Amino acid sequence: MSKYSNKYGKSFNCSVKDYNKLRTFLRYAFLYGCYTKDDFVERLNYSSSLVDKDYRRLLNILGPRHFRKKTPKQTRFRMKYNYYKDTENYLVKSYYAKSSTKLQLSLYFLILQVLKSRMDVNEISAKIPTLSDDFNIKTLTRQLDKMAEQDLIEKIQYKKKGKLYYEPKKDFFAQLTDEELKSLKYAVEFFCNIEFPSVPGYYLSHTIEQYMRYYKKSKEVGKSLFLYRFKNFHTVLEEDMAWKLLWCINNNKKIDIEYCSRRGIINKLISPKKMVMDIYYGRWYLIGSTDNSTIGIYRVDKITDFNIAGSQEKSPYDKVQIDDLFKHSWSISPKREKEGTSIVKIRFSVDPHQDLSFLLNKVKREGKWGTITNIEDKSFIYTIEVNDATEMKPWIRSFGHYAEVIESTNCNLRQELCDEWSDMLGSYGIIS
Amino acid sequence: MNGVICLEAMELFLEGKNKNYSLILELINSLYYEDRKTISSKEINDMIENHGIPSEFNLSQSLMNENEPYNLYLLDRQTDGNYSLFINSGIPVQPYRVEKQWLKHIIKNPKLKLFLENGTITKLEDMLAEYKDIVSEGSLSINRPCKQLEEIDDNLRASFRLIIKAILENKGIEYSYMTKNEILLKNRRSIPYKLEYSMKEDWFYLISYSLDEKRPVKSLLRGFRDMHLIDLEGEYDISRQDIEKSIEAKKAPHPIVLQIKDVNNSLERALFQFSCFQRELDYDKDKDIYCLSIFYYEFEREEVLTRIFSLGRHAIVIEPEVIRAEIIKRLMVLKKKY
Repeated sequence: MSKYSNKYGKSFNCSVKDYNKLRTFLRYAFLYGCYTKDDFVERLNYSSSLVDKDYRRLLNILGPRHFRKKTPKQTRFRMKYNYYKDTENYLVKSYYAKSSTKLQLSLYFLILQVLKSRMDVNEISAKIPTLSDDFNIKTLTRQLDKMAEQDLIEKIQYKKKGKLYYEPKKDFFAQLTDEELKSLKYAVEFFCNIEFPSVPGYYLSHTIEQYMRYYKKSKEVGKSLFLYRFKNFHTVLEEDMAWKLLWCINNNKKIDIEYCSRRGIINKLISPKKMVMDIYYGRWYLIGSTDNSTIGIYRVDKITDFNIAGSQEKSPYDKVQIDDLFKHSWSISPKREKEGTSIVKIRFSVDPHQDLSFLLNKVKREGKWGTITNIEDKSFIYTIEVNDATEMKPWIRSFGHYAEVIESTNCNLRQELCDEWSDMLGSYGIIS
Repeated sequence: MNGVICLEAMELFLEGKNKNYSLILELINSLYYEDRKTISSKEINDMIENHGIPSEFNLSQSLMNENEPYNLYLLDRQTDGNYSLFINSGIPVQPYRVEKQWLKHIIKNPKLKLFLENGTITKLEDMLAEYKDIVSEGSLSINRPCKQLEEIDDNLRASFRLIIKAILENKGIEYSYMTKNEILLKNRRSIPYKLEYSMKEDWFYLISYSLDEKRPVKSLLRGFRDMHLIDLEGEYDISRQDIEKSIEAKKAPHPIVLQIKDVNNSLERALFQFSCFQRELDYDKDKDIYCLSIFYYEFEREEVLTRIFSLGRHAIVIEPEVIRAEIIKRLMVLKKKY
């Protein structure tokens, strides 16, 4: 064995214990793709050896075909994306890289092989070969409990503090016909690409595929049926964190988060209340309340770590109150008690030679709870009440010359946009 | 995660999903369920290579019990040098708790009716009844640009299933089509390529090769009427690769290049919203300026312009000149309005 080998029995471990280790590098390589090794060191607080390690690790996990090297001076860590070719979200492969020891690896399979009926830990141990010096009943029990928690085996205890037994799980898919299973496979393949969170769906798709192969002897290679337009691959990078946060919300846990704010890294004790996924930008948010009863919005990609800090006491914000705070939120801003909401009025109009229907349909589709009035041949008025009118700016701007803000309460959106269009004309060399 | 009380129940990043596990499951189950009962050391090494597991992990030595003290003892060496299972049993294939929790979340989605019969959905609900919800309306809300498929009607369901059947069985379709302007086009024929789901619009399109117009077309799924399958064998010599090539031919010859000043998160917003396009970002360290090149298909030109406008004053089109001119023209109209 190499003199550099470690407890995993290898010299370099491509897998990682903590998904956090993969998140940041992948985010910069996929979303940015312009940074060199020097940039990672100078701008992103990486050490030179860490850049090499992360790159080597990800090349192995994702495969070299997703990376593109462009070398004017130095390699840029850039990932490729082509809509018609990359229908599968290849960033999900990063979830198939959790490290384990060889003892855990061996026990996992041996347990599933020997556990054919109800058995206690000693009976199981007797059927398993002695694996290494580290192996004992405690190690085996730990592995059994973990697999029971993951729902791979059943753990049974008849009396409180009584003897523990383990038994195999019933075949989950047995109740489904072959046709139903096939349809479910296509459904899972579709939903894991469009739903949030999505990683467990990718796992399930693979599980059904294996089940069909070994239990149904199906060697059919599934045809790719779908394309997913405007899908943001990078959302999966935050799902490890999002899943844990969802668990904390459902189990009323208070958490201490380490957050990368504009003022640098800060720590905050919060009671997580709800998560929000913004599909357009592909961003995860966490809504939480602090001990002094203020509501905070945290971007999940900026939460670098968190600890569970006990259970939530009775909070001033229940589900109804949280929903009420965000009822008029265009994106993620809560209601502000002092300022109140804003009413925004926009005139949408088309050129004289254009038909209004495409614009009317688009605003009906995207205009959320806003109302449409004064529909004429070439224009109509759209009115909406929102918590924070500035959140609407990117949407209004996206309509370009088809949208004109007529008025807005609590802020002068019309003037802000007017200034913006003048600035833009200036940038294009037009003096208005 | 450092210092977190990581209960297994809250873990999504799972050891059992590591590709080493996937390889070993395949190895054990192919020896148990399939005809051959032994495997050679070369075949083991080939499998490891095919799974992309690096040699430095020493997995093959561990599998062949030649890596003391890291032997796995899952295989047993036979006198002929080949390997058989140490314990003659397969590995049950079953979903993890997280997979079941996710499925429970999915069965509430109305779009599931496109795939499954009501009876199957009820069966799944019963199978998952004992599992706790991890994703509920109270814990996660999805902020979609629009919601259009909250209900699935019979016509949509029928068109969807027939198209899936056509793709799987390499058939063509004959149909009538109701356009956005309510004009009914009769007796159309095409070869379905793929169903496209738009995350932005929450809607399905069919991308197909029109046998009438001899080109790829994109049609709203809800526009299809009276659809039935037609046999293609021998009559039309158009493969999926041909369809892909004709779509690729629609790519704009030059990317749109945006110059972005990283003010008020504008760079990040640009990267987030163009992450679903083929793109390249270059950084000029000396000028502290970013240039984002967006590669697009001609039929998506308007969508790209919309997204550029949404970025506002910090994103300026550098090239091509024709797009720059179009932006200026629209800005002039805007300036007059304001």
